[in-house]
Amino acid sequence: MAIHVLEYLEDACKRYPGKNALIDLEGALTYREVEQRAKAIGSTIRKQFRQVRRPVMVFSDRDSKSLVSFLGTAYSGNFYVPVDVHMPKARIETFFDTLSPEILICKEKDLPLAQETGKNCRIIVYEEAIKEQIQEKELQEIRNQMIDTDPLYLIFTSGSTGTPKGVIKSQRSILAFMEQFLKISGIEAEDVLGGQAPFDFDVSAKDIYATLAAGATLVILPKTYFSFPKKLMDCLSEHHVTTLIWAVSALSIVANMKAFDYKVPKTIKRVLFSGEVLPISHLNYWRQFLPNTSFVNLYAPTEVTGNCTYYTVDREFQEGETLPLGKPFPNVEVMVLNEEGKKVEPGQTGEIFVRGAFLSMGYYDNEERTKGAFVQNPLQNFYPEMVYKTGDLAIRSEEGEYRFLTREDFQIKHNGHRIELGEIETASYKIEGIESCACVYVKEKKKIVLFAKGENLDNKKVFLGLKTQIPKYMFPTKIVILEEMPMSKNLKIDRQKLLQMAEEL
Amino acid sequence: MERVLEILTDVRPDVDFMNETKLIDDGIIDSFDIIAIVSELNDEFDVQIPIDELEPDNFNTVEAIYELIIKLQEEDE
Repeated sequence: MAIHVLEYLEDACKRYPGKNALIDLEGALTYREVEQRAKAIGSTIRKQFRQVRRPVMVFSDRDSKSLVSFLGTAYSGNFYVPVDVHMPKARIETFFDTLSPEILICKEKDLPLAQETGKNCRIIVYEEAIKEQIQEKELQEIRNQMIDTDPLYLIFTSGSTGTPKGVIKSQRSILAFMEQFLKISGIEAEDVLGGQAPFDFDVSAKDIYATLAAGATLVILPKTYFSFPKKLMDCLSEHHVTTLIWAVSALSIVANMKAFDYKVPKTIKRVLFSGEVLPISHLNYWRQFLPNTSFVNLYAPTEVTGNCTYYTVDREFQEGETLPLGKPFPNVEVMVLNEEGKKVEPGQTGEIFVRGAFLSMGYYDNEERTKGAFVQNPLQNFYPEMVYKTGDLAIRSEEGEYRFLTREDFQIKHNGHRIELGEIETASYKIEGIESCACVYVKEKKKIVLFAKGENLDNKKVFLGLKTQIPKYMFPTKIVILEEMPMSKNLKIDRQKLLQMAEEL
Repeated sequence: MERVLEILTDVRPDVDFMNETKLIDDGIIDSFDIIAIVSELNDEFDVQIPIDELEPDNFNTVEAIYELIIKLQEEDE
């Protein structure tokens, strides 16, 4: 069994050196080109930085260069941290504060942003690094030191206190997941994946490593194609895309915009989706146009690499039904436990816990949060065994299937993104003039509504204030300025009342 | 036209929609905005903007968006 994901790349390169591995708007890169460039980047990092297992920031966008930079970081023995260049500066700065990285990789065009946010970093420019001499011997020495429990990458996820948490992932978790995922999904060398997920979003790890492990081809779809989906349909058809591993929100866009009325990419064999619950009407729209395609519902929080459950749609669903979570992948256990830490009986509700090698390593430099979420298995106390406590609720049906329930805290799923409402509130409080504020989520209408009270406030001021701090996907759908904030008896903001008001908007 | 402007301003209070002529080409509004705007317009004007009309040119200015809505409403009658 492999101990490093770079073995995927190197094996594919031996088998299919001249085959296209990555395709983006600028063109295609073959497996040989990907390997050579990644090694050159790895050598460049090594020349400037002798340490291993340290974070390397990669300013990423929807392009092959970002992915090659990730692999280059892996060659250097360090772990990569994708940072979307379109993020607000203040948020990028919180990433740097959390990690204190010493190395940053960016493209020439992002150099000004890199110099501004990565003041204490040595900056490696992609276009220069890929021309560097490859130091095979050095790279081999690094590889000899690496083991499969070493970190491979880190993904930030929304934190309720306003500071994003860095979830750190081992090589092992990707290798263990991919071994099962390739079998279950059936992805092979002939397949062409159409990548939708941004690289700072964990869904993309499946695109990257399924492609490399199978020796397949990944077409990186530009984000703008999702606002004007004619181009999207043309692109999927032109490249004979067979496999989509997408966020539910992306499937919903295609259904809402009735994109298949224009063109149906008939080569699509399988659609795997995750992020939130797919509305049945959207599933049915897809199935109507692609009747022979398999549709698979996947579930896992970012703290679990890949996914832990899957359900292959095997019957008709009527509106009003919800898709089941399905069964666990081999080599992972999903437990639904009640408050006493015992497995729930059929018909009962409990919290989802996950156990096994797919688990991430925890949160970077955050022992408190890590201890709160990665806990001793409540089912046994005889030897140390960490399991992940998801905070997600599920109900066990009479047939033994699990179905998702609404969470009871302030974490929401909005357009496929996991968001802590507290993070939006913390950002709002930093806006001058805001005295009090609260965010609520209207699930049926998928709207985040921010209520704010303060002197001389207007929507524009709040919007501009948020724009410098939080990413677009976290933005309130609606901002309401109030004269008075409704309060409950114990002088807390009355969120129930606000939710009612938001529902009536 | 007033109503279109209101919808746009609701989605993006920070953009001067009356004076921008390259909303899409200059990347002033992004895919999240387009999706929100299209769904609000569909609801408000009781139309369904068809995939064939989802072209950058139809969304670069307020006027273009307004004309698209009028055209769809007329076709509907």
